[in-house]
Amino acid sequence: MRLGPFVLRRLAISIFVLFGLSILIFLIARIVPGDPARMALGPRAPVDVVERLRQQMHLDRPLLEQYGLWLWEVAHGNLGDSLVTRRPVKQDIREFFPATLELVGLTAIFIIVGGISLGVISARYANTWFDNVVRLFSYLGIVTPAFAWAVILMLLFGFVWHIFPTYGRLTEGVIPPVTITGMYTIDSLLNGRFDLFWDAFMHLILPAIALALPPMSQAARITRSSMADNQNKDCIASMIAYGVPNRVVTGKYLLKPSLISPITVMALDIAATFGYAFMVEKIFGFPGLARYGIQVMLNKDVNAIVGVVMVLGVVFITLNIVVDIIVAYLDPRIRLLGRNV
Amino acid sequence: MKNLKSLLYLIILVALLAIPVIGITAASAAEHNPESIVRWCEDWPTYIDPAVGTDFSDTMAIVQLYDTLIFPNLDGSVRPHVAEKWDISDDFLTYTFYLRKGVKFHNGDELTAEDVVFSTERLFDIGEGFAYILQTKDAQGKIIAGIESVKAIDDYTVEFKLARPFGPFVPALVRLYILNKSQVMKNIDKSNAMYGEMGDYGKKWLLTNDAGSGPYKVKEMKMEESLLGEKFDDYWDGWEEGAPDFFKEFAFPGEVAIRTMMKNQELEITSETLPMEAYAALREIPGVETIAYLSTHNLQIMLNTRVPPTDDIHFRKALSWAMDYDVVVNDIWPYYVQSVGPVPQTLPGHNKDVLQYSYNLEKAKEEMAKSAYAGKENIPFTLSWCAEVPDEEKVALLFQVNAAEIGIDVEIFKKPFGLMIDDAQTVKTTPNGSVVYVAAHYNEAGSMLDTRYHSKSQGTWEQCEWLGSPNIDTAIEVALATVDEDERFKEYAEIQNTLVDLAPTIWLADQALEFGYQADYLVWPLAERVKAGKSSSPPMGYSFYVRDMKILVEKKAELLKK
Repeated sequence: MRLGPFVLRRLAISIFVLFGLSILIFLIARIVPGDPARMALGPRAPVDVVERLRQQMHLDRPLLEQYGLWLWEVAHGNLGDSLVTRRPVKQDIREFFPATLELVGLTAIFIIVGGISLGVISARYANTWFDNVVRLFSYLGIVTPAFAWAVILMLLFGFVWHIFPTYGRLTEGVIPPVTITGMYTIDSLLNGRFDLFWDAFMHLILPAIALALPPMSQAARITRSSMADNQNKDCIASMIAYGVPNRVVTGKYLLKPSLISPITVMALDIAATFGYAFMVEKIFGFPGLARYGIQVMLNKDVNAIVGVVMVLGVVFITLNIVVDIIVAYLDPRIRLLGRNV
Repeated sequence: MKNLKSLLYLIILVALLAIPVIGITAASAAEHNPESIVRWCEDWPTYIDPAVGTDFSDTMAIVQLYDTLIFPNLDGSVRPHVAEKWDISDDFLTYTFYLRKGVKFHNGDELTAEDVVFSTERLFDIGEGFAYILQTKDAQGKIIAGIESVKAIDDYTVEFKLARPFGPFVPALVRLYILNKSQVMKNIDKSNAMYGEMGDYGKKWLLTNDAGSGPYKVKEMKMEESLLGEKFDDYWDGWEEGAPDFFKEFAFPGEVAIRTMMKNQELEITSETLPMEAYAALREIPGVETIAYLSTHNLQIMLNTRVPPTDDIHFRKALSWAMDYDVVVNDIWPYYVQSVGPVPQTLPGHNKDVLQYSYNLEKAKEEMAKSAYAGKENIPFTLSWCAEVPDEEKVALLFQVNAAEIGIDVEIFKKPFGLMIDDAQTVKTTPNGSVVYVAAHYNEAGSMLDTRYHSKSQGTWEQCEWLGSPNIDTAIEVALATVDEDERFKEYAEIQNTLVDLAPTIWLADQALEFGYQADYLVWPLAERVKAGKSSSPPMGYSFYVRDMKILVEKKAELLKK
């Protein structure tokens, strides 16, 4: 498989997608009602002070000129200042994105491991009591939103049984590890602080489970049905007839093609988690990018809105490219099609 | 030689005696108990720069970090603080404050008059925060009210000159927080020329640091997450036994998290924005109690007096009589009380004898009959309520039902506050009715009257009435310029009577703030006052003045073991 040209082509397309996204979100952020400068300074700030901020943010210029100036600043690595935190958006993203990345990382592990395992076992024991339990659990998981799971988990494991911490990224008073990646679990390991790692990890468990349950349930359902479809194919029956061990049939010949659909769905779900994690982050007092994103949107913090959406855009595109590569690896037809093209 | 030997012995003795003393001092500074902490949650982010912050969340933090010349008591009166005393000139235009000696900033510098001058000038140059309370400019930038100039007479004397007499000037000074000039100047970002040679005026540094002399200093400020303050051991006014070593303010996490944290003793005081059911649930937690007290805010429906049909005084009065106030204060918010006129009842200068409208359909119909809309059916009326305050919808729906009883067809609009601000900018875009909470900026009736009904606030969300009455404007100006308090309050009372007669607003209810707190191990002066049945109306933020609280650490440890 010639991955290089494939990835390069996708990257080139991605630049255009990001460019289009930047125009769209830049315009939307600015044309929705409400004066960002007035909202930032409060209703009682004098007109001249509001006007000074509007000029500083170039809000007094035509939209096209504003976009040009913004693009120029972005080219110089500057996303502007946030009206909410009153510091560079770049700094905010650098601080909040690793927190969400860490949370979504663990969520992704739960989704992939839990979703595929449950799906495979369910398919293997199709129409047994175990399969029925998993199906019931999956339906419950799909129809219950992540924030509801967050509340349920917090009540059970924080309020009734105080097993897990329920607020923030670390226990109060604990000094965070020296910043390397911004992800506390990784940084504490890199600093050799296993106590900190455990503390940070425990803070991630409940929000990650809450976020993982709906997409994990969906992944389990899709994996199961995909496995069930492939199970009935002649090639699988032939292999079983030739005496190929069940373990090999399931692991190598059945699972691999069955994973194409679940992986695509899981990847999109994981990417979407960056955006919709805001309720869970808020409930658990987790200072991540999703919570920040909602706050800046409610405050019409134009620079921060564009910054957050662009980051999420990059995440979506990256995950899509990764999924394409994985799918191409799993399905030879896609690889060959790519070569012919 | 013998003397020298004696001196040497003396020095050694003093040194030996000093070691444990130094040791104790150093140890006491280092040995702040992490369990001796008061934690609460609020709207976030919090701006701790006194020239920027204005809301509840900001002021709760700022009052811990910075000192003021005078200090508000819980009953709404004020007392000397950093200023020991003050003189007022015969023309009431010059106020001279004499500062206390030995007041130290957190970095050890002494607070002087120069710091007061710098803090005042910085506040006005930036123009944000509470600048609007202490200085008013006209459209040309000329100072027309409030502080015109400030200067240091000597290290401990500072003089303010006012543009015109301002009766409530001293109470308004609770919003002038004093910063350490030299410390701020050292942390100015010159690369940002927003304020000319002052660069960014230290705004960036003061986002996460303090330059104050207050009882607590910033230990850690995480933007978008939390503020941890630590006791300032050298605070000039000393410390009482049991005063908390730390305070922590953090972002509101949601109702379930608050309940969980209260149960696990990870939170001492809740937010005031929980639904009724949440307070009931909190009371079920052992050791947790709730208190509610009337604030200096009230909830109103502002009526646009320049557009039909609310341009008709009888129409407005009909609406005032048609509103079912009991439902608002009994069913929607049980701790609220019906407003008595335009000024909240907790504010000094409130007129308790003013006419109070009540739900009376007969009178409403009588007024409708006198209006230009008599006999008409389905009279169109537009009403906006603020999307960020979901409970306002209940008021809007109640108003719709009540108004229908006298033939008015109310169309309701849910609008983000930003949009309501935009709408309020012109007469045409301002709806007939706007459901809005309004707060006094300083503890006097004059604050509410000035910002709500003086023509200068037309075009802002604080006056959707577009009253534009020269008589009211003059009356407010005269009252605010009256230095004698009794006289001033009489004038406020008269203005309140006039306003009630004009009915530009439906004054629904005075807001009550309700909090849950750890009554078993937190001694909270405000809660004690409320439980004793005394009225409390400290300016915004001062109800959380941590220095006056006490944490019973041993009791807390006992509770944690259970």
